[in-house]
Amino acid sequence: MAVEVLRFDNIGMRYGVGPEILRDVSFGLEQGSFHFLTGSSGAGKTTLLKLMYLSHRPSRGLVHVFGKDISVTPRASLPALRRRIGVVFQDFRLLDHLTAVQNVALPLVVSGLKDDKLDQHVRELLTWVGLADRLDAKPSTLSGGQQQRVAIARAVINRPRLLLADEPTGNVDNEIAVRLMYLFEELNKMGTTVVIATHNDDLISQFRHPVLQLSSGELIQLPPRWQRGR
Amino acid sequence: MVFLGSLTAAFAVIANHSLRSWDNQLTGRLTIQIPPLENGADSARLDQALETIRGVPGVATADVIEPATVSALLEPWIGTLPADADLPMPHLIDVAVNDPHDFKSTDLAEALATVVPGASVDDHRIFLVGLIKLAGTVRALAIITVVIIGMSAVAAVVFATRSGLAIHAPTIELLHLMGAPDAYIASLFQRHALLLGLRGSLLGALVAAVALASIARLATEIDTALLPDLAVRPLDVLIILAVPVTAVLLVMATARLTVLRSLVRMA
Ligand SMILES: Nc1ncnc2c1ncn2[C@@H]1O[C@H](COP(=O)(O)OP(=O)(O)OP(=O)(O)O)[C@@H](O)[C@H]1O
Ligand SMILES: [Mg+2]
Repeated sequence: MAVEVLRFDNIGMRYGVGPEILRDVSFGLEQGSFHFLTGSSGAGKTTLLKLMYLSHRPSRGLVHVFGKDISVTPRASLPALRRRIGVVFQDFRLLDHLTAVQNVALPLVVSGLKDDKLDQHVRELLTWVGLADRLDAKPSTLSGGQQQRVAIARAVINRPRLLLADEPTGNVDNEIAVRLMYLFEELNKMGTTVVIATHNDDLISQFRHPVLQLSSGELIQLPPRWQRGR
Repeated sequence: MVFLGSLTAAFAVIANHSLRSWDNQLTGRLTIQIPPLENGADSARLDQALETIRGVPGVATADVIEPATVSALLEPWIGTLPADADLPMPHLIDVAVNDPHDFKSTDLAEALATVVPGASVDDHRIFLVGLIKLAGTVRALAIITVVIIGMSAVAAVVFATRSGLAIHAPTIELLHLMGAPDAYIASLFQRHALLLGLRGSLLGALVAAVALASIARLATEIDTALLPDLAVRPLDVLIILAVPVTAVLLVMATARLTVLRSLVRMA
């Protein structure tokens, strides 16, 4: 059986004393897999991703990341796991006092990898996503779609083992969306496990990856055969 | 805050010095005046007085000040006296006591009153004791002020650092989610706080130094013997410099703890 990068067992999640947002969610992601995550607005996609990138802990159930049971992993060991996860946040979370290049280089700095050669790599990546002329711009001076591409570049710069993208094509036109999807597929071919939360049905049908669908807090993993039939 | 703290520390230091120097002046010397007699039978009276004074407990020495010295002392006021002038000059006796803090000049006056009527005891200490008490009060006030300002400075620095960090909350969370260890993030913001703290502290210390220097200048112009000694010694400089240094350390520690606390709240 293939190695599982991620495993959720009977996960329940509520914020504080609020209602349960996720109920009995169980699934696994095989290494090198590529999934879409869909569901209507408020279904819990972002919440599910938060559990995956170790921002939150579930209210109940077990989360395994890279084979480690998070509930028994010492806090000091979590940063090393997080450094292998690239995240495109739905709200980008770019740092406004840094330039586009500096924002993208941030994961390298955190990993202690920053050097001039990688700086070149950062510029190439930003160029590839179409931001060649905005390399040294501050995020606040960029359009929503441009900020989103900076956020994507930042998420992939480290070649993470797991890439989680929350609506990564929500603010760009279809041409750029397809280009970004190629970027994710390229990464996926090199071994990165990818999960992309999206509302974009065109994208889902065009790229034909298995779909995890959230419906009122519960997960329905549609069989690949059904998807091909669409 | 550093400005206020430095000034207050400086005042406390000065009050402390005044107290010490006045205390040293309290050497325990008294002067006794014995009015001259018409009939010139002074020397017997003087001997009697000396004997009485020396008999008072606590007196170390008692000596007659030579008439020539007395004339010299009076010269500025009455001019040079002709050698044969037969002016009735008071006799002065210089008395040293063993323990200036313990000695009561009234004891001496009482003892003398019966033997040598008209003798008067000049105790410079009465005036000085008042000043010393004053300086003691000033010092206590200064210390209380330093403590109060110190506490409010600490509160202000902690509060400012924490609210300053509040705007960085998204950055802290992002670095955390990117897998930066807590200690790494904390030291990042500690360094950031060090730079900010240094800037503020240097500015405050500089303004305080200018203010202190001008006060010291004014004081030397007034130049009365009784004004506290404003000359600042190397040790005092250290005490006053301790204020900005403490402030910077406080800012750094607050930044570190605040960041660590916010991180611990994250999963
Ligand atoms: N921090 C929070 N505190 C309390 N409730 C929250 C919080 N974040 C999300 N929720 C609630 O959890 C539910 C799921 O939110 P979530 O953001 O996961 O949905 P989503 O599927 O990502 O929606 P969208 O497609 O609009 O991004 C919503 O009802 C939302 O109100
Ligand atoms: Mg969402």
